[in-house]
Amino acid sequence: MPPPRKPRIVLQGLGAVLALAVTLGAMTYDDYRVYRVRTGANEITQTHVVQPGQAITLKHISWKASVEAVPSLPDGKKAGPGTTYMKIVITRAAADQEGTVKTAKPGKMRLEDRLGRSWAIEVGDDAVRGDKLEIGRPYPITAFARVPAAQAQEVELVLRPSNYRSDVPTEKLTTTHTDPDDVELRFKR
Amino acid sequence: MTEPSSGDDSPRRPVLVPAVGLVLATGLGITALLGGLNEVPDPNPPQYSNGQELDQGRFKTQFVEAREVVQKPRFTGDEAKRFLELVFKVTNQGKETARVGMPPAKLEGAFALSSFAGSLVKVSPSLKQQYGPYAYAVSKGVQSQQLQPGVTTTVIVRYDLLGDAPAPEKVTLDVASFEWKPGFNDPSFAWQMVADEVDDAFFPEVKARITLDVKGRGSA
Amino acid sequence: MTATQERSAPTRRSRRAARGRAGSRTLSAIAGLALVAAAVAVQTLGLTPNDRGAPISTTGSLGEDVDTGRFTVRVDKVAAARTVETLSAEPVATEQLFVVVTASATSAKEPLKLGQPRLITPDGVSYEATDKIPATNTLANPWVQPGFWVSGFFVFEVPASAVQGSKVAFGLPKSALVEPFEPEVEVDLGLDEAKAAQLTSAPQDVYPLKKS
Repeated sequence: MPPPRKPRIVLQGLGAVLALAVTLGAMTYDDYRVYRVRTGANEITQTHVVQPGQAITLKHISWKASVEAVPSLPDGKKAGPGTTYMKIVITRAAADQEGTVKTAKPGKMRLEDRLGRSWAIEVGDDAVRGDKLEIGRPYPITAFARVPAAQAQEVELVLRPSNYRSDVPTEKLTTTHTDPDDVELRFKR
Repeated sequence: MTEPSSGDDSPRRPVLVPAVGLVLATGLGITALLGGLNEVPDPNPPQYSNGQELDQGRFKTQFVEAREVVQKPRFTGDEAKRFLELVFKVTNQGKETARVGMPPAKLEGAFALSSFAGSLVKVSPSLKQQYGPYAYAVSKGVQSQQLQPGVTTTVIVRYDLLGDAPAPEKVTLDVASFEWKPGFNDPSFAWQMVADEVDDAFFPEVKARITLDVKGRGSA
Repeated sequence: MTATQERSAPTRRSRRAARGRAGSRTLSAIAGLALVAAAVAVQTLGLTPNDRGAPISTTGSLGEDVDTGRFTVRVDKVAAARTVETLSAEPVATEQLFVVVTASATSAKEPLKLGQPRLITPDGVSYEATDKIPATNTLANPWVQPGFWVSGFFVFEVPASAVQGSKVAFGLPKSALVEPFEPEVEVDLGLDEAKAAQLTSAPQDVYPLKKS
């Protein structure tokens, strides 16, 4: 009784194709995940939109921000042709006892235009000194960014509050569970 | 044509395969018992001294000298600083920029280094350090951490001599070498330190032992 | 005798069968060898482990905007010097040759920083930009952002022999987590024999890095 050869060859062929597809697929998926993690696309984010001039209280901190075009940096430096410097003031205040230990600057700060393009923000000064905030007292961060002049009136501030707490000792920083780092604030202009 | 009267009905016993298997297994067992096929680390690596040159694979290295250097104080009232300097002329024989690096503090884990100073796996006598040692390439008075391919550069490894501790008369360096090969759990090729496995840990293989006479006080 | 004949008949049959099997075995062996040879041949076409995940280069030439999709780099000028003067006016000398590349960059969507580039010879020898010039003096320092260009310098320290036919590869900064298939710009500096000779025989004595 001869073995049924043909179906087996077809089956083996299918198996080979499948194995190849699975291997390449797995490698591609792995590479893609590395790309997502490296570019920050993998962060889970819940965005809270803040209306112009309004404040928002979130996770024990009250946030307020302003974004405006300025003719030059404090040291007198003018932006290059076709670009404008933006002055950003982010004011945070502890809303309750829990909030007094949230002393860190936001983890990520960007100016974003309507197309989703973004620009870096460099912090000039943070009013927080030491490791404790007073409840209700506003602490401003003064920061600057350079954007194309055409986008100066449209860019919005997007920031990601840090989940750092100053009452966690350094040696326990990696083992302590703090709030998940999963919110972003978008300040409308 | 005569046929054997017996043994034709019953198939012949396949003795060859088990026999060869047994011999191989025994051979393997004996080899394993004797310590495997790994090369036994040479207890007496070749000895080098001042001015001699060693091919480390990634680098070709001339051991120029060891010297005691006294740095005059920058401000009056400060104490003069004393250093033991090991001077090398290093040629990067690879096709990419290498780092000067630092001599490893411990022998464990040293095998993972691929920098030049990383190959100075043991320096004896060991000198007590506050901040040091420092290692750098220097040319025309400009320091660098890079060894560019195909270029011969002076490299200085500098140890603090603390307090009144006298500089040793001789310094002995155990120097490892590198091979361009795939990594332990990474198939891509890179410069890897030649190492031996001892009890599940890797230790650099000492390619040469260099003894340098320490030259007397100069000043820098 | 009859018994023998009776016994020999099946033997002959099995021998014939064995011959047939031997024939198919030879065929199988040849087919197997052919497959092995094919596999080896295909293997040589394959990527080496070092190539896998290597950056994807977008190539271009001197003065051309080379766009990777994530960022764009343009090499504006190439010069050679014996000494480079840093932004803090400190002279840095070399026994080799400094190749000073003036470049501009912009980004498509997000702010990013360029890594220190490499100068690559036709033989594949690669020179990282020199650390003798502080990174803050180079184009790796400013943010590269959408909508406008930033310009700056990169300085390589190479032997004169490395100049001819060389290219410069610009990528993202090195990170612990290596991104596979990172974008990279590779610019041919256009240094043929004559231009290379011109650069290496008459390098500038002092090349001052100045903010543009």
